[in-house]
Amino acid sequence: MSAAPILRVEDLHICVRGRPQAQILRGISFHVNAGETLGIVGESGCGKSMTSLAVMGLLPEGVEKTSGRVVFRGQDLAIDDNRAMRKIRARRIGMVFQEPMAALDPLYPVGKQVLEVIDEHLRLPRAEAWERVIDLLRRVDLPYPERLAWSYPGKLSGGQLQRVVIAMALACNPDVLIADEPTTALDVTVQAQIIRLIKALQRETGVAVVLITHNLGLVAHTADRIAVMYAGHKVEEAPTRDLFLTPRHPYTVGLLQASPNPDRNPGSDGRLLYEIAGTVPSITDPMPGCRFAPRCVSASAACRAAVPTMTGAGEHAVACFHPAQGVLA
Amino acid sequence: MTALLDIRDLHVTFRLGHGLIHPVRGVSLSVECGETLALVGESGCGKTTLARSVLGLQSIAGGQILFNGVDLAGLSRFQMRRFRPHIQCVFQDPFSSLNPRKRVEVLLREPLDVHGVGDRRERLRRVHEMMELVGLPTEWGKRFPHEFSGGQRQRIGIARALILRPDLLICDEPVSALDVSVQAQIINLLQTLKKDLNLSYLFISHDLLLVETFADRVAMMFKGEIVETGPARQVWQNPQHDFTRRMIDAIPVPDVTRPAPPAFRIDREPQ
Repeated sequence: MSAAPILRVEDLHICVRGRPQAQILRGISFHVNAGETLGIVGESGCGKSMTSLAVMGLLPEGVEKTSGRVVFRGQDLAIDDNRAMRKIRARRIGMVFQEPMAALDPLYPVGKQVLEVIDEHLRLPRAEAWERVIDLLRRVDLPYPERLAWSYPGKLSGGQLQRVVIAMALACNPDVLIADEPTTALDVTVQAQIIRLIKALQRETGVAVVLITHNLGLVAHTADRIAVMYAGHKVEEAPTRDLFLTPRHPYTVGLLQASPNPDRNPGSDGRLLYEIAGTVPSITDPMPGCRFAPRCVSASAACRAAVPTMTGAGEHAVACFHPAQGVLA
Repeated sequence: MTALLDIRDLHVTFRLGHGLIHPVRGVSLSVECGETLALVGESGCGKTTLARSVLGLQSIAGGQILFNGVDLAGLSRFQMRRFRPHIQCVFQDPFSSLNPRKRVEVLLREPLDVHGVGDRRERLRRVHEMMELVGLPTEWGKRFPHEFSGGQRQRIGIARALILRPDLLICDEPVSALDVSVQAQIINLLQTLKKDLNLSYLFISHDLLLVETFADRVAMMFKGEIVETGPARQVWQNPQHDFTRRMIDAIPVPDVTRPAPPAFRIDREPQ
């Protein structure tokens, strides 16, 4: 895939407004190509949701970008200009959030809410716009779309609501779909349906997908490439297979070992899971070195003195002075 | 082994408007002494309602809940109070299940106050003993819940549940609000405590992949009924009921050498 990336985030720094020491993102870079799925993995507080909000120009009050840029199809996005971003949001970059109920207004029929997105961006005659709404609801496999369009969110299940949100995100044929924990609130069988839906729509339209999740199992079977985030940094990036088979950052290694996997550690009942000791540092903690060092088994004096930068061969890069070698046991 | 908890043909009904709903439909299951039984099902299957009836927080429409041979369903409120210390619960959300205005020491002492255990000094001693057991430094006792991370709060929740020295601990999704690395810490803690304190667990979860790693037996609940029970590994490797198979087909194991879950494949017809 030699095509220029459709979306590129370059060295993005975000901090609490007026408190430059309280850094939420400490230089995040990634890109995604057309038709590709990039997985962004990390635990709560690592900045993965802030990354997606920044790309959409939806940074909350009291948070600001201090440096870095977001480039869409070679063009700089003015992510702190709300009016400029209105033209981009949903039209070029669609977004699916974790809580479908919170993403929809309980007082309007779901079809009207999909219609609103179309009205905002596309000049279509009434009847044609409504036809498009019905077509979208059908494409996300909702039953009886003509009737369901008039249902209020409270009448639909969590999985159905998430389908409506996906229909809204894809209403204007965006080039990029950002899905931030799209299935976390759903049952595992419903999660599979939503993942299958996103994959099918991706194959049909060629939309690039950025899948943000804490669930390693999910990215293992959906993403082409994965970026791992920890405490505001990207610590490792690799094609999915490489990341799982030869993880290099000690944090990635720990995450993989802490995840339940019936094949890796078969054996007697009552066996213990691998745990990563300690907790994530506070965003205001002014530690000079690697932010994972206090929890890291391979940390040395060098790790506490300076922040390692991303280095690596080919597509597999890691920010660590003592990366793991070889295959994960 | 004798059953510590023996539920027989349990029914729970709710009145809803003019109708009646039936979230627990004739459930029979048992937890042996020293066993971890995982109750697995999707949201709305009735697993939490079942737990609430065992805790005496939900009136039942029929059946028996035998604890050490005594039917809890037939007890008066007063008699039930005597049994409460034997069955305690750890809740899902460590953020909403702790009173934010009380210091950890007070939160942990409360169950002892309610049940009139020991004097002031004895209660404080037991609070500190329990804090050490769950891995919280005793000097943190003066702090408030908001000063703790999610994993630490769940440790407080576990300490509070264990301070009355129960025999049976009901864990209702105790790690689903936690990150993977912290989840492992809490599961390991529960495993250690179980051995040290001679506990039995009824572990309620939606995550079959997780419980497969530490539960002794699994009971699969679907639409208010138990559709399959068996040793955890056996249920995972050789599921018998269609619901269990459908769930396993949808679980993404974090392992790229395995094929993608069948339910993820887009060439397959939706069920």
